[in-house]
Amino acid sequence: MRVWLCSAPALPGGHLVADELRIAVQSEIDIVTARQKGRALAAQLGFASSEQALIATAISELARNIVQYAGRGQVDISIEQKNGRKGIGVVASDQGPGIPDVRRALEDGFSTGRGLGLGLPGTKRIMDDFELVSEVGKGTRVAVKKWVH
Amino acid sequence: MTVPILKQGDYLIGSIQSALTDTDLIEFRSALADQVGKNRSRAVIIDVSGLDIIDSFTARTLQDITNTVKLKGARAVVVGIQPQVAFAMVQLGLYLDGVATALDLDEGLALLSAGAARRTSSG
Amino acid sequence: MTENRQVDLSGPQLFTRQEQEALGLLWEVYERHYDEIMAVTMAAANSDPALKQIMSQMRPDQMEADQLKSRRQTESAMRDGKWQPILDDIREQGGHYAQMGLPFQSWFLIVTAAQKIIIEKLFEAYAGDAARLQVIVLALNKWFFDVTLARIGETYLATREHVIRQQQEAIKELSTPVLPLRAGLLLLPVIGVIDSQRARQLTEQLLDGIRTHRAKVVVIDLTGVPAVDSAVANHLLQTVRAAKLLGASAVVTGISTENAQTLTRIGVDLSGLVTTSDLQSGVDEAEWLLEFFRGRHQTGRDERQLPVAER
Repeated sequence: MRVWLCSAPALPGGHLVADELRIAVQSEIDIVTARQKGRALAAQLGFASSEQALIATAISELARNIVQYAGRGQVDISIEQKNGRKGIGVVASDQGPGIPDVRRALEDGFSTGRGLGLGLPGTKRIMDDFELVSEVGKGTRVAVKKWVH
Repeated sequence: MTVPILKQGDYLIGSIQSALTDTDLIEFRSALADQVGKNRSRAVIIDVSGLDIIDSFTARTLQDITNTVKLKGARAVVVGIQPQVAFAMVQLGLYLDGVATALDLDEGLALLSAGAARRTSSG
Repeated sequence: MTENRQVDLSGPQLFTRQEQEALGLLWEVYERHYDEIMAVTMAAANSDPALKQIMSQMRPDQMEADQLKSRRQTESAMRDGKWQPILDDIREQGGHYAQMGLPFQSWFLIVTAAQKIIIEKLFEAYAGDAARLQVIVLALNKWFFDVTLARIGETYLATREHVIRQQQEAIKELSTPVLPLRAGLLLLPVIGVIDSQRARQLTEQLLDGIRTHRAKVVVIDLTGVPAVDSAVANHLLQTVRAAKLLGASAVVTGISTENAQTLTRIGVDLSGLVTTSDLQSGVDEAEWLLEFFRGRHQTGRDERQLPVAER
């Protein structure tokens, strides 16, 4: 149901910001942990509670993708700063099968009402910054950020 | 963690709390189907007011439950989706097509009895 | 002309060395005829109603002090190449007057009036030296148009955007988002331009309203939205879907049939929506739906008109 499609070159290095939460994800329980920690951090950063729900949902989707397609991986949640604004950063990475066609994976069916399995387009819509790098046979890295308004 | 299922006349009511794992949800789905069969229930009401997020797996499960109990001749209504959760869901593209929804338990019961009345009058 | 002077080229390199030298020469002419140039520029300003209004509200001593400051900055920039102070001042003034609502047109008027008189004086001074005259006039134009007016223009744009945002915030606060029409029935009149921020707010307010008023049907009226394009339509679809998750159906009013057809043609799927073009029939439709959901419905009414989910 969820179509994993292909793309780009090497996985860039991560960037460390003060206060990172690293969550090893390899089972469903970790999905819950990841989204709860993400939500807690979002609350601390002062996100409105509707935005906390968005962020937690996005984290849940990303973590679930790891468990479902790669078996294991990592979710790093961090506090971001830019131009005096604060935000939350989430990087979901794995060394799983990768996405063959990234463009299709990001295609949005929302205006035609097609439902489930659209984790990536939806996540992209929810978050302010979205970066996806994936290589078949090597793995996938999704990095997203949301800024406090 | 199992989801408690309450019997209320012809109806079954299950309240899903937060922090449920995927496995818990799957077990709930089976248990509900089981109970519908055993009790010949006419409808199940799934109360999700305790959920602070509903992601694609949960949404899929709710749809599966609806389809499963329909095969056993019962209706399903999902109640209690919080405004913020609803907002996040549609952003993510989770629309729960084909799943009946209501504001809360009372509205869910009203929906079921209005539906029953309609079916009787047109039957 | 060949005096020794310190030229500070350490700042932003707006002008080439040649241009900077030309500006130095320009400044000499400017200073020599300062009073006349000022008089002409002021006369032009007075001929513009907006500018005249503003100047009449300024205190004469304040105006004099400003002019003196400006004169010093001009000297510093054109003769010595110190541009930063005057550039900062231009931005500040631009922002200030943009906020006051001075039309950009007025700036253009003043600059062209000054340009005209200055060029006249330049022609007099360099009558016999066409090559040099050309270099100086080009430098003057660059200073007036590429540097000064361009900066003021940018500031105007930025300020306008800021003001528009503020106005939208104010509209948002003033407008009553959600109106209960009767038990179980809500009206959401949408007014103004809808961007994603506003759409999000309206959706949240609608969902809260559904919960508070226990609404089963909401009428979303778009009559007050100037342009229902595909972006707005998609926001609308999202809102309707979210309302459905709370058990409420929506009737959308205020989209003309034409508009709806255009949207459908460009691929927006409106088939799940119940729409009417005017508010009253939308409310009637909503009332009918409400009765239906309560389990009492008139026989003979075509069930195919129901929103898809209820079939």
